Amino acid sequence: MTGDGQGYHRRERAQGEFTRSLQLPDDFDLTKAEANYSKGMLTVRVPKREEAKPRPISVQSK
Amino acid sequence: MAPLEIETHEKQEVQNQDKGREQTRPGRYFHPDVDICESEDGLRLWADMPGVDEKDVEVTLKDGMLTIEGVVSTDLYRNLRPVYTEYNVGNYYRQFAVNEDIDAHRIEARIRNGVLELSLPKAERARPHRIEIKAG
Repeated sequence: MTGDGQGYHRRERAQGEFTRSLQLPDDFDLTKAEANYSKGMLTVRVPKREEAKPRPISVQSK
Repeated sequence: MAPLEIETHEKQEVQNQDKGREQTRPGRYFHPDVDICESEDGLRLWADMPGVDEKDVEVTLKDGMLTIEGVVSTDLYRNLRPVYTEYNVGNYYRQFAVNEDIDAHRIEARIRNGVLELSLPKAERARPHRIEIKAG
């Protein structure tokens, strides 16, 4: 709580709820997403789908 | 219930020519947003410093100048390639001239959920005194 009923010298900080939506490409597997909230920061990790990861192709010589 | 429309604004970066600024660590610095309010007992300050740990925040009061500095760890971002950056990771620095007579020994500071909370009690002589009126 931020001191109600007291004289404010400055009031800059955002108050209220936060909402944000982002669209991700199909390469990401949202069912495996993980979220962490620490020190006032929300971190969301979304892994790439296995099939979207780059795959090394072995080159054979004849 | 529909979510509230949140006003957003860009973080303000500290410019090197800022008066009194001493670059002690590499990296970008931003001005934290603050609320400051005053009561009879003293001043209270809240500063948004997301990502700052209690061991990485420094608060000093010297010659009427209050300085707050917070350093964020960049470990989380090591070896990552930025795709989209809007948040701008950086440290925090801000100074305020404090005109009130503060009892420096009783200043309290804590950081919770990335918000620095400072309590700056006024010195006894600076508090308003109610004078008893005697009858007779």
